[in-house]
Amino acid sequence: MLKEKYKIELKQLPVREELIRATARKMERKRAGRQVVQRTFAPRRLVAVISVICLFAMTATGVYAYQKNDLTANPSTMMVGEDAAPIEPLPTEQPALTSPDKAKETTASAVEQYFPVPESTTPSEVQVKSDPQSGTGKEEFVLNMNGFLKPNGYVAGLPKISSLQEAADQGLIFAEHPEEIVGSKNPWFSGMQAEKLPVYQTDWSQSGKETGSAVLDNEGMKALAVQTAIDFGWTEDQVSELEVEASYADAGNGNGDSDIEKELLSYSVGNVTVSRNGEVEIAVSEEPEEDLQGVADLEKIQNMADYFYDRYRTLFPMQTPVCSVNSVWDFDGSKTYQVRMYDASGDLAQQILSYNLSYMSFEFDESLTMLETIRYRIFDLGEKIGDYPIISVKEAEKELLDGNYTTNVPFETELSTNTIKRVELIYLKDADLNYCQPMYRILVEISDLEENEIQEFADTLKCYGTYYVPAVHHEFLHS
Amino acid sequence: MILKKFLFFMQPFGAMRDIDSEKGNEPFENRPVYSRDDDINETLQRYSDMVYKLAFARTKNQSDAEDIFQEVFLKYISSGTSFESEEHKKAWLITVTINQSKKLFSSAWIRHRASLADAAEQAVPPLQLADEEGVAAAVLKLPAAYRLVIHLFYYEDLSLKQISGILNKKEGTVKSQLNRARALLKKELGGT
Repeated sequence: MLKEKYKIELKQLPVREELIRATARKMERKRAGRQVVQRTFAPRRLVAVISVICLFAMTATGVYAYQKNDLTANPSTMMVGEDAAPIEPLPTEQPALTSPDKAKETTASAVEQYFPVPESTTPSEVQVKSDPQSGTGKEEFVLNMNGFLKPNGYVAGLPKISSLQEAADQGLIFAEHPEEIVGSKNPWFSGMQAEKLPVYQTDWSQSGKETGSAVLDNEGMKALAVQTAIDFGWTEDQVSELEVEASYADAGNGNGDSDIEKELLSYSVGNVTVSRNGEVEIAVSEEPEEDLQGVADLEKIQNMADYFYDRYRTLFPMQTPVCSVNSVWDFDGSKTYQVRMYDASGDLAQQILSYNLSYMSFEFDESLTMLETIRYRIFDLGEKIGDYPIISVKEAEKELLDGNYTTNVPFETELSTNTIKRVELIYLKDADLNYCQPMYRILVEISDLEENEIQEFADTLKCYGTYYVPAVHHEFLHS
Repeated sequence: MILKKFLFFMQPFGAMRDIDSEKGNEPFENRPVYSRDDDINETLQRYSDMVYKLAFARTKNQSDAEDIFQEVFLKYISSGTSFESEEHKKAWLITVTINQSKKLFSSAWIRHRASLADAAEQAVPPLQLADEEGVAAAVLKLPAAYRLVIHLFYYEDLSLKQISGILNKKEGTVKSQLNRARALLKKELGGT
């Protein structure tokens, strides 16, 4: 097991005895010094005593200033500086609500302040709710928001959602140019203004459900593995002879009884493996029966993807399959292509969801002559909450420059309109979010690589930091 | 009450104090289980391997790992933290080691280290991995964030929950990083 090997190999690197002895001596000296200081000055309590004295002094000064300005009549009329005009005191009481009509008017006005409506639209209903249990006789006036439409057509009154707190990526991507990083057939492009996009409840914190993925139990994983093996081409008789094998993580004792083993458990039947999040992986190692060579890599990939999708379409049926390709550079400096087939049928929102979350991916060998692996995910978006208004690319860039972003870039770097190289609207897959929601992924070129100790590939590739800005309008996000 | 507190603060001011006997007067529930007065050799014995290997996994450099090693244990002495348990102490040492490693990377000193690298390497005998194509060598090739998670998971046997607590990241994030790190490792090791 990797874990055991890693331990054994690292154990062979002992800590130098001289280092331990030198550190022990320094620690002894430091402790002796610390005890002397503690015994003599008791610094924490000394600070506390000084704080008490300062507090007395400040209070006395404040009382003197307060009396000098003759502010005793109304403490809310504060003076700032000698020539400053007094600030109007706050009214001590809110205006009384004299009638239900007045209350409705006040409620509508308050809502309008947050959700401005066009003049032609009137609120459809104001409901009056009273709580006889409270015994206070007070009534709540609740505005039915369904009648409110904003000028650009989206419904106000959608519940606020929480956004990404922490990105799960590495933060840094190496590429020859930013176009390599984004998909060749992404249905969304930066000139496009999507006004509203759906948001789904995933309840990651409750159920462990990742965005766009199912959560399968052990029986569900086994059943899916068996069914997929049959769909792939094994006969039922063959499958019945195969053992359903459980594969545990490189952790625990290998018996599958630790939490981590249960969490990372997967089941395999033949060449099919199914994970708890509904991911299906099929080891293939198959060359096409006809010559599919193209002039350029992208052409070859397109031909191979079309060929193999036709061959295995029953595994993941789509109405309008489209192949999109992007490339990634591994940490060892080699380039690989990520190939995905997604369904380009339906409206833009459906296409964006399919492209980001529900697709079939192919892995080819380095020479692009053999299909090695097929992957796809059982797609489960969760419950749709609504269609939320989306900010524009320009607004997303401004949010980034204002510091409203999430990133795993491990150091501070220059963020400016010049260093922003590409913006992409995405739904994050595998994210531990309670809401499956659109985000802007902004690629920022990082030039100060040497200063930040990034030597890898620096001679041949550029480095881009990934920054995430919520695409949902901030009005609908918890702060 | 205020007067009582004031007198309490004034009482030890400028006086010679016996810290040990004072500790004996504290209510039992307020007493730290582990304090800086632990036996230094015992602490070093127990945690030197953990701190050093973690620093090395993070920095990939023996000189840096040794600097961090000393910094961490000196901080242990100078910090006023009281530990509720041995686990708490371990988590504290891991967190400080990670923070010291990050600090090293961002310090101005490291930017100019290149010119001094040769001298530093001569001062400390270079570390040789027994198997240059083994798992440890492959782990050292991983990006820093993945290296850290793999090391804590593989070498320190920490759970996802413990790692997420130490790194202040969500369990799901740690899990994703761990999965990706393992996938990269397997690829680097030729699918074994």
